[in-house]
Amino acid sequence: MASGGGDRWVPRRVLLRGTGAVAVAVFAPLTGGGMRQAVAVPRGSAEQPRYLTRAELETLRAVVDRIVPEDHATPGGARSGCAEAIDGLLGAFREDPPLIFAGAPFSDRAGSPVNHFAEFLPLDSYEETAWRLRIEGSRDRPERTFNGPVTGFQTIYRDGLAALDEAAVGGRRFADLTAPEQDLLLATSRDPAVTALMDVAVPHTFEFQYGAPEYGGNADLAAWDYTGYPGDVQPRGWTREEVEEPDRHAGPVAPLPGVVPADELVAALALAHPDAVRGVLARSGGLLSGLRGEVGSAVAAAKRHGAVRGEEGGSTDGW
Amino acid sequence: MAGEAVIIGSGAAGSVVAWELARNGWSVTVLERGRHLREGLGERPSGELGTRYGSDEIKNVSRAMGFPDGLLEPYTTRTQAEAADGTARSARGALGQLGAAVGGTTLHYNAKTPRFWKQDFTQLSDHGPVEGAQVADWPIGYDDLEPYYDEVERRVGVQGDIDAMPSRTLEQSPRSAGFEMPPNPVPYVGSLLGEGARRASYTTYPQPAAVNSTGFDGRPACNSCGLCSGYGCPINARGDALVSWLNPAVGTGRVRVIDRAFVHRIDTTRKGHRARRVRYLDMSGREHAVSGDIVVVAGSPINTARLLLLSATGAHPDGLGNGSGQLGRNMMFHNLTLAVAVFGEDVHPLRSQSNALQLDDLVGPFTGPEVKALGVPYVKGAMVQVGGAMPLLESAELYAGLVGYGQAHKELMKAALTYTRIGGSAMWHEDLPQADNRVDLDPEVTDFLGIPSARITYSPHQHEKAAAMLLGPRMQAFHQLAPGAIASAFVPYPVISDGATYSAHLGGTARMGEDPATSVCDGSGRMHEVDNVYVADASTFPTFPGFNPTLTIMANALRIARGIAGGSRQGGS
Ligand SMILES: Cc1cc2nc3c(=O)[nH]c(=O)nc-3n(C[C@H](O)[C@H](O)[C@H](O)COP(=O)(O)OP(=O)(O)OC[C@H]3O[C@@H](n4cnc5c(N)ncnc54)[C@H](O)[C@@H]3O)c2cc1C
Ligand code: SF4
Repeated sequence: MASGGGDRWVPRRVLLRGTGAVAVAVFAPLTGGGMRQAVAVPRGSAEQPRYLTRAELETLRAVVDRIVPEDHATPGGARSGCAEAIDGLLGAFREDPPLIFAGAPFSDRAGSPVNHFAEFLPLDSYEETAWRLRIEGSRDRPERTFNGPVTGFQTIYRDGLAALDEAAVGGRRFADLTAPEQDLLLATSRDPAVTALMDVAVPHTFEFQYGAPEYGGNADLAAWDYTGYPGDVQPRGWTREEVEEPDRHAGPVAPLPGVVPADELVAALALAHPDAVRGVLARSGGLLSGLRGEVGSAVAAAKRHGAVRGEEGGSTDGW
Repeated sequence: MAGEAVIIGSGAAGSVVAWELARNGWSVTVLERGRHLREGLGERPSGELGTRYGSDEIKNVSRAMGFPDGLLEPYTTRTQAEAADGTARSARGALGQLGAAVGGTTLHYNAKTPRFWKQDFTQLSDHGPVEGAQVADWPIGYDDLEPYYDEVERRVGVQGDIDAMPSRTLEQSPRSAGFEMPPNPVPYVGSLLGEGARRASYTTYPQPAAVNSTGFDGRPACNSCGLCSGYGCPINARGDALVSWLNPAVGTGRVRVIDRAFVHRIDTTRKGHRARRVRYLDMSGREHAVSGDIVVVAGSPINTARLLLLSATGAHPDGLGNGSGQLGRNMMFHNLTLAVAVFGEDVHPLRSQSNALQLDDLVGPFTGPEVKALGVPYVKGAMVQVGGAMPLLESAELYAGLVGYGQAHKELMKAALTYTRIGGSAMWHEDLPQADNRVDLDPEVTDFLGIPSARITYSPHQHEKAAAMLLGPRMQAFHQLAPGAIASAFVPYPVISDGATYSAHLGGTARMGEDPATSVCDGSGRMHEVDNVYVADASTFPTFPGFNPTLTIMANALRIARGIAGGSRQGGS
């Protein structure tokens, strides 16, 4: 299991092309040779959602496609399977084991012949209690209301999706609106049901778009392709040479994306530290509004203290 | 004479104590509220244990497997100002939580193992008091810990390079020997930041870490997979509480570990001088009790304080052993100042065991006029961990905080900056002990079993703000000097927020000292007021110097356990 020689490293892209489609290998049952079956397929289908109704799932598909929009070259949240994956989370306990923690230790993307991720882990009663409470809510049960009522994901999604359909005027449903109309509605809605929905739907969509495909999103690993992300690399890992002297693409310096002012982006990148971001996530409660507050205040403070510098050492103009 | 012990918590501190007592013939019960995650505990060698961990961001980060659940076991928090206003709490959830699992938080720690420095044990004598803080000397010195540092490093398997360590580091934390293993390959981005540091007249060196760079203890070498801090190691390449201590302890046949045991009370004799038994609830709320000759509390500072406060009786009206009024006080979190360099090309920063290098030039103390101008007599910073980057899903969450969602978010994701073009550093700075930074019992909020939650009141001291403002720009400067850097920034958390940043480095709440009027435990870890109760975790630390604490937690726990068992060093006389 120790890191091997450089010759053993096969980049994931090569694997992808070499085997046809990794996604097929992930979701199709594995057969033969004492391999375990990849039992848990964590998504329902458009025809047969796990928890939501077909109509709700259609609305959710429209929502996740605004959270991660499809563009000319790359799939959005809908085509990546995020809506079905969220439905899988809402119906997590209709499967045994429930669709909460993927298996371990390896997928089959970096040298393991077996995809352990594909078989979800059994939960113990603590984990089950916690995730049922989070998904189903407290439902007036005395053993779940020790700190007052908890609104579960199921209710947040049901109510939020209904509110979006109601807000889509003119006899249309949310999914019938044009993309700009949908964006406008999401950005301007003051309906608490919509705010609560986006608070959880945004982080969930990112989880399924960018996380391991065994959870039901990231179809065809397209999101790892368009982000150039290597994905999980165990058990192969990286060789000494790949760590110390990696290939680099010399050439003109790529500009930073202009979607935010460069100084704000660079300040935010200072938070891109594995331990720091855990504090950010904890304080945000995993909600979009919490994340905005946390990152926003850190970036504002860095600017206030003159803590961002460009190449010339002084201002950040003209990057 | 060997007896029976009950240990609360199976993390770094509890596992070391279990091992040392078992080795000396004691019978030990370890009570742990978390779950067994490593199949085969006590039955197989550490290299052959099963695992539930993988390089899976959803499981490890979003869904925090192996951590207490924020709904079932919330903490509550508030700032000092809110407490003064009478605000009961301003937040509730998984705040400042360490892990909950058999093996504790070390199952998914980053395994960085620097030592504390000589100067850290005599801060009050050397520099005098600081207004608004309760700075104290330790009742022990570096020399008392040194043999235990050696022993712990050998057992967990620490990698490092003594020849690359600066002379001041070696003067302040002298070593009788080198390291068990050579360092991991230094990532390319580390070489760039190291060069930036050199240009700023600073020194970086491979940070000591309980990470195998060669096969060790029947476990393989690390392959620099990069999904390390916060993840269980899928290939078992890190030394931790479980593989290095608890598993061999259980293997002696004298240690039993009861998981999902939620300890809520230590019962004492009528006059309160001795613990009689330890009470816990299981998942269904049924009550159980275990007794022993001694009780060792090792839940980590917030949980240890909560348990001792929950154990109040007529003889101990303000919490067990709290005659001094110091129990729960002096809660310390390392504060956090961050810096980053942005590069023009792909520097592959994620190909590394998280943050590979250490820099000690900002440890201090600093005492110049620029420090006095910041309103404090001195500033102690910390070691800086150099070379951080971040995987994909955590990046998506970070960008959600910056731009929300939609096309702008997707453009940031496509730019792939956080795992290709940055190199970051973190300074976990020293947090001075304050009486008003404290853990008490929340008057309303409880865990799912109905037991009052811990409430944390915390605000950084002016010392921490001064350190961030003085040292943040110095961190940024060496990032900007790294070859190829096109931009840099620093983020000084102590001046951003009046609350805690919830780093995973926790100290204080049951400080040790010689005087029972001002401390909770004596230098041996025993509570001044209860003869057979010991505190073995970082709760006893009187101050909280700026180094990752776990090596010192293990070394101190070994020292305390050896005091209890009266034994000698392994293989010694
Ligand atoms: C992501 C991350 C990275 C880290 N990286 C590093 C690093 O690189 N270097 C470093 O030095 N430190 C690091 N740490 C910190 C390190 O994990 C802690 O310092 C260390 O684990 C503390 O040891 P402990 O024994 O006091 O507590 P823990 O390891 O947390 O163990 C305490 C145990 O007690 C149990 N417990 C508590 N109360 C009760 C109760 N009432 N009943 C039953 N059981 C109870 C808990 O469930 C827990 O399992 C990191 C932490 C995190 C989260
Ligand atoms: S970087 Fe090394 S020690 Fe860390 S998880 Fe990966 S293989 Fe394990």
